Amino acid sequence: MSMILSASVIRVRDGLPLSASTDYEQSTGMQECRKYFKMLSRKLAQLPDRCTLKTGHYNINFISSLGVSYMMLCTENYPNVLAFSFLDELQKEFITTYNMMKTNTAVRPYCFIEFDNFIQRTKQRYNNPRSLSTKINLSDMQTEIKLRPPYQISMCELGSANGVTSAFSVDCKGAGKISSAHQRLEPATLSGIVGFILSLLCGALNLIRGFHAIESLL
Amino acid sequence: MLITTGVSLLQALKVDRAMKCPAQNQMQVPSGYGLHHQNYIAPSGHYSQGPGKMTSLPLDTQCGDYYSALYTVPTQNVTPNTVNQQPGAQQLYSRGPPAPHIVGSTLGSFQGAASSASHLHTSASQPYSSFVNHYNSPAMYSASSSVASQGFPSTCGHYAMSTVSNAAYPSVSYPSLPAGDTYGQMFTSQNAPTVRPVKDNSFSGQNTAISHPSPLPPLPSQQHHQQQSLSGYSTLTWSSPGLPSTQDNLIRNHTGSLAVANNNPTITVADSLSCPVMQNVQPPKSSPVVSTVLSGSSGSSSTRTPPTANHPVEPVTSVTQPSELLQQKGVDSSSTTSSASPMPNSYDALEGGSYPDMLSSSASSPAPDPAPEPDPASAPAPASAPAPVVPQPSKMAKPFGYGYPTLQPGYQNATAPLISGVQPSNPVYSGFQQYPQQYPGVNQLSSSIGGLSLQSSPQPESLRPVNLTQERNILPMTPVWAPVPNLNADLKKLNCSPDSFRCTLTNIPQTQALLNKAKLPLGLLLHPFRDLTQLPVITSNTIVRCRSCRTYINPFVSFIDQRRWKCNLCYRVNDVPEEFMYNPLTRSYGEPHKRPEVQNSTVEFIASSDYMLRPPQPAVYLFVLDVSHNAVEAGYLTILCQSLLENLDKLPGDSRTRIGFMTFDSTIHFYNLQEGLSQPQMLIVSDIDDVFLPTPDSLLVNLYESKELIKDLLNALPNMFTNTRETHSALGPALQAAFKLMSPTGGRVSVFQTQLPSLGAGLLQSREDPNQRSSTKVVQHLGPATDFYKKLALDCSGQQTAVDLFLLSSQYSDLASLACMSKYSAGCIYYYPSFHYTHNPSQAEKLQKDLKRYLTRKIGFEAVMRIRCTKGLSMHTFHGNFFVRSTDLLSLANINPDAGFAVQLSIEESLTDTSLVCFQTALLYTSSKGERRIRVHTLCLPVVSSLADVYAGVDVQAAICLLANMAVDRSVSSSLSDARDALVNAVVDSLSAYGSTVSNLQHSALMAPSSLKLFPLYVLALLKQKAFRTGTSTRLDDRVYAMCQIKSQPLVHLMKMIHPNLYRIDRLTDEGAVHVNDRIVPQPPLQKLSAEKLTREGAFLMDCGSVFYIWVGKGCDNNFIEDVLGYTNFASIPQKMTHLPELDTLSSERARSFITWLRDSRPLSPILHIVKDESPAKAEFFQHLIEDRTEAAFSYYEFLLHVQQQICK
Repeated sequence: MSMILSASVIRVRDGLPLSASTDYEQSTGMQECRKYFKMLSRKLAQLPDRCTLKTGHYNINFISSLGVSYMMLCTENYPNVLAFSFLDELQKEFITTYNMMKTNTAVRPYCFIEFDNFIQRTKQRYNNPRSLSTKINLSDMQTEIKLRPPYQISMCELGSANGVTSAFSVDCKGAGKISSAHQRLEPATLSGIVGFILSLLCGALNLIRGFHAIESLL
Repeated sequence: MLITTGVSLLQALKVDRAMKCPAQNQMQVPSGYGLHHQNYIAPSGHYSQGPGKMTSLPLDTQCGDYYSALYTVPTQNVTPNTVNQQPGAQQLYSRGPPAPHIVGSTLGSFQGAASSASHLHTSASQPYSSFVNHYNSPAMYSASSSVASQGFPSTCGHYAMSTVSNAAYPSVSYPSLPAGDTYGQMFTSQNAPTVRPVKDNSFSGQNTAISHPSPLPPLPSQQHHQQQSLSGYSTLTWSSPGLPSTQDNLIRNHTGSLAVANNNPTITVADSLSCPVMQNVQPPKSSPVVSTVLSGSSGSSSTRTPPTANHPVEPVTSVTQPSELLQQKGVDSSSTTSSASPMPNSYDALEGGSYPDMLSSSASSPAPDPAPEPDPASAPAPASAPAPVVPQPSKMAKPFGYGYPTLQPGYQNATAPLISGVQPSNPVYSGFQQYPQQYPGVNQLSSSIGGLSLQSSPQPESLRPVNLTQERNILPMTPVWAPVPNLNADLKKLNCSPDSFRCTLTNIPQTQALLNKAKLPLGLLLHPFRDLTQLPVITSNTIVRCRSCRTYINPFVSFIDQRRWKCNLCYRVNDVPEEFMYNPLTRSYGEPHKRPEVQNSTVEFIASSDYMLRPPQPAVYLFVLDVSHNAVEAGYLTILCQSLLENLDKLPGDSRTRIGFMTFDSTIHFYNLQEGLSQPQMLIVSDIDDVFLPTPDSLLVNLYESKELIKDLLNALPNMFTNTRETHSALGPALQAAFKLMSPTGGRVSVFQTQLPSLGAGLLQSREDPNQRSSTKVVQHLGPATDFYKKLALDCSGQQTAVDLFLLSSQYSDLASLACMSKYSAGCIYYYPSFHYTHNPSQAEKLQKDLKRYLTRKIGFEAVMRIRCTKGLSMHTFHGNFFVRSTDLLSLANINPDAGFAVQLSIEESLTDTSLVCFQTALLYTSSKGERRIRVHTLCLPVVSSLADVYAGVDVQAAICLLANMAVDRSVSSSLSDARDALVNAVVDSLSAYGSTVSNLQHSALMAPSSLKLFPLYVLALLKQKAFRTGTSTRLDDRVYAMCQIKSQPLVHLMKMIHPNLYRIDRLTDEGAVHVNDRIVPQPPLQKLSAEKLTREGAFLMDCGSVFYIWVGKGCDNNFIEDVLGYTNFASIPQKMTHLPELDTLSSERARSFITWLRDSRPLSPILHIVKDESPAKAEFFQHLIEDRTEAAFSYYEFLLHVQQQICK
């Protein structure tokens, strides 16, 4: 089943969440994906204004404009065009509801949480194809996406390679721990041990040869 | 099977089982939270620095812009008790609920000031324990006396003043003084004193004292100054109340003959300085010893000192608190000497310190009481008498006129009703204790008279041994207040209000061994989410916390330098973040110690997104209603729907607020309220073995979008089931459905149940045997019959859902089992026995009022609370409604302002290397507006090493409440009789332990330190409380409900439940009345709970917390019956009367305003029963007279003898 699962509004400058949908459907997979929201939100400033991140069964799409980014999580088979037109709608509504000043000076996270109401309604509309009005001009969006396809973020770009993710999550939870060295020593494998012994032997041999050479010189 | 009724048929039954997603564990706390005590750094010497540093911090005016965000919650004052201490200020801050208006009315801007003032007040309330200390050291004495002499003139000055203005003191006294400056002055003054480091020798206080004398009322500018500031305050505060309050004070004196005169002047002064207390507070810093004196006096004056305060001057035997003396003496002397030191230029400094100093000094001199224990007071009294008398003959008359000390019941600690029995002379002093200012006069006198040998054995008032069997009137006439920890004045001022945070021992024993010796329970009582009128709210990017133990920065940390601070819980040194260097309050840089976090022990932080695991949830309310025949018969639906309709707009929440309804009998009914429907749609699920939601959304709907439908439903509901014949109740399945409905968001489920659940999961059987109700032996079935409700509650708690239970039943409903649904999900429980909307109108009215409060009070969602304490202490048992998620993390799906908690503590490591311990409660919650907030309370207490000090610091009310909590646990886990024995043993053990420490006492008598003198009485009260009584017929549900309340009520309310207050109300006068909200509220004295106090000629009001009784004697004056009750004579009063008519007579007005005032002080409205002397209902009333004998229980005296016997064994 293809559907929009969650959406979030984030300030690009510092990744401060401004609003988000209250998610009534919850699954562990989705919870995982919401973490990417957090990760992405930190990097928004470096990313282009229209991106897609594919994470297994779910996709994250987002657009940024005027210092605010609109992010949504949907199942992988949800049409791209609909996803971006959904974001487009969020953006329009958000811009008209809250002025730039407010969004720029916001300090408290989720201070526009009441925008949730709109997200909720829009989400419902998009999730129910039958009720989705034809008012939306999908062809425009389609051509736009064709002309300028969303940038595909790769996982490694996100910096979510194994080691770093864990370090990141530690940080972002504000544990305030001094993040210890991320590179861990791994136990040596058998080949490693053999190689080590061999090189040791070679070294010893060379040393002995050296001595002999010196002796012969003398 | 699913049936749809209503207009449209349900098209699709979507049974979305996927929705039961596994409960993701919602840890609200940042992971950081968990880190605990890894790196404790050795505490050692640094601590002492702490206070010093602290002191250097000027107390900032908190009213700055910073607080624009002030949380003004109408209800209770931040520090009501403390405030109350001074009569003058009383009106301002005293009243809990009414408080808001007061503040508002006085001045908008005043709030800020008030807040700061409140701090001061708190600080002012001093540990009386330390009280007499200074006396003992002769050196001290001399020093003090010299000071006193200096001070003398000032007192004279006061005198004059007082005499002049005496009658209409408040406004008249300092009318000429410009009120304009007031705040500024006040603050500045405060600052000045605070700045002085503790150890600082320059005794600014002294200077002030000197300066003070000069100010004769009419005269010099200096004095003016002082008074200005004060008066500024006073004028403001007093505008309305002024007069009466002064009167109150005066009234106090009535007993004392000569002393009275003295008192008056001083008192008036005190009054006029509406916030004198704060000043008092400050001097102590400079000279601890002196301060102690002060504290003693001020404490009593401030009314804080509970029962003990009566004999302030009493020398009392033991020299407690040696440590203090040792440490502080040096300081003392230095301070006194320094008194000569240059006067501070700034008036502020003067004001700050002066007054108190004077007092203290003077106080110290008189202190010496030559007389042996029992009647120490007598000696000083006469001595003091002469001087004052002369100046103010006129005054004398006044005091006499007033029959009793009238203080607000709730708020005064005034303690000291005169003790008639043992110490006749004492009464004179009672006045003294209450008003520190009195001291100067007296003291000086005494000093001038000559060093009187009095000083002999100083002992804190709280340690004065009381012979329990001989003291007939053990109960003070005014409410008992929390003792104030014996800290230096700065810390005292900063310390957390006892309303939010109380410890059973205000002096923490150094080792577990010492604690064991004292045989007293050690624990904390918390009321963390109390309604506050003033609360600093802090928004900053970084919330400064200790890196190792995650303690929030608080007033008790020490700043090592500008850039580093040391945690007061684990002693780790942390960096001060850059942002913290800037103080938004003063707009200055580089003063981290002036930040509001460091100036307030109760603050609220706006949390960053680190503290969120998900976006803040909306407020979600689900109502689950019993509509079986029984419920319809009881008729609660009408009341509920009506209340909901009325309060729909007042439900806390933002535009996202969601609401939903379910009803159930043998089936479960859902209501589709999706916006756009023409009328609510009822969906019936009859498959109660496997409950599902008939439609995934639109059962919980947005309150504003579907408001019309909701109103339709509420209007229709009461009549929808009128003809039902369904008698079964499928509560369990309904709850399961509710859980499913709520689990995506979390929120609040309110369950209304009227009978024993009889169908589906969680069905219960009747377990009560009515014949066993009055059994003296075993009381069974106090625990749950099934774990269904507990499991459900835990599931709910995991999904941030709390279940509140309203049980309105006429028969046994097994509350013991049902209550589990609320206990573990952090809900609350309300019980309305024999509820019927027409047959029992008082219950119906109570439900209505309770609902109003319930629906509109503040609420916090997805909350967690963590309590931290100084390394060495550990918490082991928690009491209250919550789920303990990890060792010290309480998971609270909801938090409401009426919830109280208790924690038991143990001392794991000896606390020898620290002199202070701190406790910090952090409550992280999502407000109904979707803000994530952290409310932090920090309490600081001294550590003591001697047993006597431990006894001196007992907070008997806190102890009794903790014991009650423990006893509830015991009776469930073991048996009721075990719990009862444990309670008795608590008294026996502690008193015998005390007896063995005091060697020189005659062993035949039952002695208790004054701080513990109410302990046996309270324990007896507890034994006769519904929860624990035996032998009297008690329904099981009633008993269990009482136990639930004990576990979840905050201390103030619990104390009323345990030990009701009794007042005589047929002769209310305005003497000593307080003004609240433009109303005059009379303040009758407390009577002890004994039929001996009742007379047939009177009418008495008993305040039992949730019930009021007015007992009308047979021979009651017809005037009263006519004017107040509205009937011509006793015979015509009906048997069931639950209202006082609104009559246009003075006595009716007084009675009603008094009762309303009592009512306003609690969240849930009590019912009023008017009980005629001969009516059968009088048994209800008489069962609360706990000092009397009943067929099944001891009288108080017998109980004492029993205890004594046990001790001797």
